[in-house]
Amino acid sequence: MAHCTEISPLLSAFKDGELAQVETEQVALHLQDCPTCRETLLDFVLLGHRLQSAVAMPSLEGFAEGVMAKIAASQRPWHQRLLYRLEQLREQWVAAIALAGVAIATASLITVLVEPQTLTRFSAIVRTPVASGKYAQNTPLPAMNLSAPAEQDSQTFISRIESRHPSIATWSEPDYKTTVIWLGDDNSGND
Amino acid sequence: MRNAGRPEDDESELIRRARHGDREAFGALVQRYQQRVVGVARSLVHNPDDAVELGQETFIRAYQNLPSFEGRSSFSTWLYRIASNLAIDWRRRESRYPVAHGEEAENELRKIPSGQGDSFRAVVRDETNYKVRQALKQLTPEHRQVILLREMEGLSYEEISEILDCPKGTVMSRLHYARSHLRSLLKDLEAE
Repeated sequence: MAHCTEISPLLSAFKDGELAQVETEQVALHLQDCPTCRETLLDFVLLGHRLQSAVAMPSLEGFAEGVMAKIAASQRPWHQRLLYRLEQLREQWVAAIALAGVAIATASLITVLVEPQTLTRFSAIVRTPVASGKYAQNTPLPAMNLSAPAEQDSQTFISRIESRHPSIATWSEPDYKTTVIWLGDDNSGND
Repeated sequence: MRNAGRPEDDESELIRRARHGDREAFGALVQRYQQRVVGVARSLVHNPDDAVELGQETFIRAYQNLPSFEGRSSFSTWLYRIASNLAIDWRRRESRYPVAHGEEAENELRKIPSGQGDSFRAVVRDETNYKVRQALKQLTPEHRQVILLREMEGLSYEEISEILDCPKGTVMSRLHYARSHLRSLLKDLEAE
């Protein structure tokens, strides 16, 4: 059996149920045969009741109202208010950036869906290599097939260029599915 | 119908709203914790009115500093720690102007609200209770605080250690000495 000097310091925590399982069992075993420690434990239990009876808790009537009235009368310190404002601004900025991103993505999608020829025109222009003047002079002009809408659109574009710049000549290369734009050496338009 | 969530979820929402200046939400938190906050203050100061005042000050400080509450400890522990620190500061200030021993007990009696009635006054004057309070005053502040937090507020050793910012073993040791000393003091007082 454990000695009282070992058990006595554990009685308080035993009463509160704060001991580990092993220690709890050890104390319980000791208490069965030790009237002194049993009396101490009983005094600890009674002490708790006596404290609860003796120490009066003040009335809390109107407590919360008093707190709220004082809060209403006082402002938070300036640095706290500044922190709030920064936090709010940060939240607004994040929201604004996210919104802008969504708007840009939506606008891009709408552009592509509403104007399907845009991409075709773009690719037609990209796919158009600019030939040198020499090559153009030595190559006969093949017949142009303008049946497809994209090609018609390309033709409109090319016609516009030709009307503005007479030195430019264009023709199709059906074998390579390419439209050749020939840029003359003389930019004045007098070929 | 409103969906009743878990209390801690409800508390998080109240704290979030209070952080953004929602006084109604903070009022709900005050209602929830006023009893224990005043109890924590009461564990350090003798006068109940002072405990109430410190309790109110605790909530005002908490409201002002809510943005700095990071949630490392629970909201309740954070509140109790503020109350404890305020009470310690208060006691330090008061110790510069100590009240005579007998006078303090009489002052305590005089400060009891008259609305409580004669029966309440009679209980306060009860011989046994008076002896317990006298014995309590002879404890060191650390021992007094730890025993009242445990016995009056029913806080666990873990909670007390967080509030006092000390190891759990220290709480256990202080409680043992507080109880042993109080028991011995009461035996002496009852023998008189």
